[in-house]
Amino acid sequence: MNLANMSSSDLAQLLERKVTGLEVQSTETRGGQRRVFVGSIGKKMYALKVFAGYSDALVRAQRELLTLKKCRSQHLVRPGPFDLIRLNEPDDDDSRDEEPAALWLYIEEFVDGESLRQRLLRGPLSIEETFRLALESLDGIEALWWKQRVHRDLKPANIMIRRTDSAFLIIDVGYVLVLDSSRVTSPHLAVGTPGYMAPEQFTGLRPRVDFRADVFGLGACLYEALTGQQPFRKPGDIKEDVLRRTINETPQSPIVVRNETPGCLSEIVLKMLAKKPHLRPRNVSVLRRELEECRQEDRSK
Amino acid sequence: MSVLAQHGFRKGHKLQAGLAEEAIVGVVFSPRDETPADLIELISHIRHDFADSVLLIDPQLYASTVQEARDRHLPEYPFYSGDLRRAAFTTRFIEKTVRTCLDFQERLPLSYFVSPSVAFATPEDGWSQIALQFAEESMEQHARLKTKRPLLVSLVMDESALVNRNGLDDLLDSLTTLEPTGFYLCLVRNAGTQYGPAMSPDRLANFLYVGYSLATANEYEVIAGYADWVGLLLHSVGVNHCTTGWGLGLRQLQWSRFEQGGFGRQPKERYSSVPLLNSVFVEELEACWRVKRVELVLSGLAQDKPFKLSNPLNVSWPQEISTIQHWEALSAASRAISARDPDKRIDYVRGRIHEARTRYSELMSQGVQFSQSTGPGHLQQWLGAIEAFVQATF
Repeated sequence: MNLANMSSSDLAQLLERKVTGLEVQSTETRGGQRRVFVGSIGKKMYALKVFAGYSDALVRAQRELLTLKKCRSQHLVRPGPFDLIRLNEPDDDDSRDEEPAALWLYIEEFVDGESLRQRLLRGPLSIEETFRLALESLDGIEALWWKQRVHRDLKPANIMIRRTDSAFLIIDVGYVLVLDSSRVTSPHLAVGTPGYMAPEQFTGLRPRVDFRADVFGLGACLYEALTGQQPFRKPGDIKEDVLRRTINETPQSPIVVRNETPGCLSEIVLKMLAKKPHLRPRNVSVLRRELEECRQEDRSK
Repeated sequence: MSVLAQHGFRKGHKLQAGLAEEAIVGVVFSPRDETPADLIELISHIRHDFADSVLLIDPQLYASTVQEARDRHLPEYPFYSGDLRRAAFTTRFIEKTVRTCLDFQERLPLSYFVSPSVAFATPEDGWSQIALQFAEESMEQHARLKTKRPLLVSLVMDESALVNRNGLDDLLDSLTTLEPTGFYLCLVRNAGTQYGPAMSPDRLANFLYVGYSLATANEYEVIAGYADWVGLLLHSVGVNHCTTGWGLGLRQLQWSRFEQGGFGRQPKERYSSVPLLNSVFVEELEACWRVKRVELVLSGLAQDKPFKLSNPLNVSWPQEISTIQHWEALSAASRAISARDPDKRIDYVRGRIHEARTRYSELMSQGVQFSQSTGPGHLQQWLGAIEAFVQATF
């Protein structure tokens, strides 16, 4: 069965023989190496992620599931009740490590809402919403970092806003880097999205990525949430332009772009976007304290 | 910023006098210059008499790599062995050295633990990796002690380490993943560097960058050892405390302090001038007095009075007094750098440097001659360093 053409009913058929109680309802996204469907067990909704099983994708999915199991935060998407499920049977004559035809499924909490990316299409967040975005995302990042994990791909598309309570949740930890394990991706291979990736993620010969790469990614999200502009992308830019700006240019201060931005928040965001990791806040508690003090200062005005 | 005394040989009563007169707020003790028993007693007495003072030991393990070092009492300490080469620094040796060093400090009434470390010449060399190992091991051992007393990680670098900014960036990236309370930062100046506040602008800019990255950007407490006048610049970028001592070897760290034959000279009598941001020779002060411009040099401290009344050459100026005056001058100058914002502190220091240049110019136009180390040469270097630092950092 071809992943790209798989329908909800195809998936339901494959699942019939594997698990009971899991109902497929609709297709959420299409294309790429992975398909996401919406399903339910009883009244609880889940995101069903299906991918073709070549080795890197399989390891990534296992790592994502393990990460979600280990790292608990209200602001990090939760894993579903099943481990990885192989949807089709292996070919008898196929004993190779890589099986392009193998189809796998894993499930996660379904976040009913919209991504920050979709939300920003309607304009910037309020100052208070931006503070909340910062502090709630930081809670998710801290849960990852506590278990020595770096998300590496924080961007508005990977932050969901839940419809019921407007909470921000970090999703898609497929590119997570486990600092004390062998890596799926070569340390020399840039992982992440231009415009949100920290300079150390795509420059230099030595792997130096740590928690502060996520601080940079979150800083880029906050900048965009405040100003409606990506910090390192200008109209007409191609990927290389964005990467070059990320290394060489300091974005305009958020307070200059949007004058109601509190000065301290503007400074914090620029500090999060520092080119060198050691010039960014060095741990979650330092950054959280700075954000809370700034929020307090802003509220007392 | 506050000033700490860099303890050394021939202390006399300078430490107690400096603390009593509040010229210094604490002491960095030198095990090299006291037997373990004497050091323990000295620390206990000072803690007893000055309960709020900031007291710490520089373990001086970096001297262990000097072959046939003039390390005096250091071999009497359980954490020190001399004549070490790189191969000696195995993981097990580092673990044992850190453990014995922190255990020794634990029983003393000190304000901080200070980790032992080695010096490195470049941020990429093998020694810098050993220094990082010492830092990491110290973090672990400190956690084992379950103590509330904070830990400062020693960072001892040769001046040559300041040449390569990219290397420094990598080193800082690693250091700032650690969670000590702060750092005890020492710069080993090049052999033969004459005592004084002069320093190559590029290197000084990178030294300021190290201080800024640790103290301001990462909010560590930073104590800069042997900083002397350069401590004022370090303070402007956020460094909390700076140290200086009485002998020239305690004002500026050089390997000669630990090398055979490198006996420290007794310093020629100097007067520390806040307006000139330098310590000038007493003969030069006398030259200023002769042209009726001594007020341009005086620091506004209690010790100034005799210089206003008579020829400076006739003023009794023993080391006991001149040391206190030096500490007070540095303390006064640093207290004036009080703005919260680093930009404003840097601007203030820039203004003081320009003012010092004007004063030097006036004195020299009156025929006063200064030596190379006491003249205004450092001011241009400082301005250059500040500009380079600001440009590369903000």
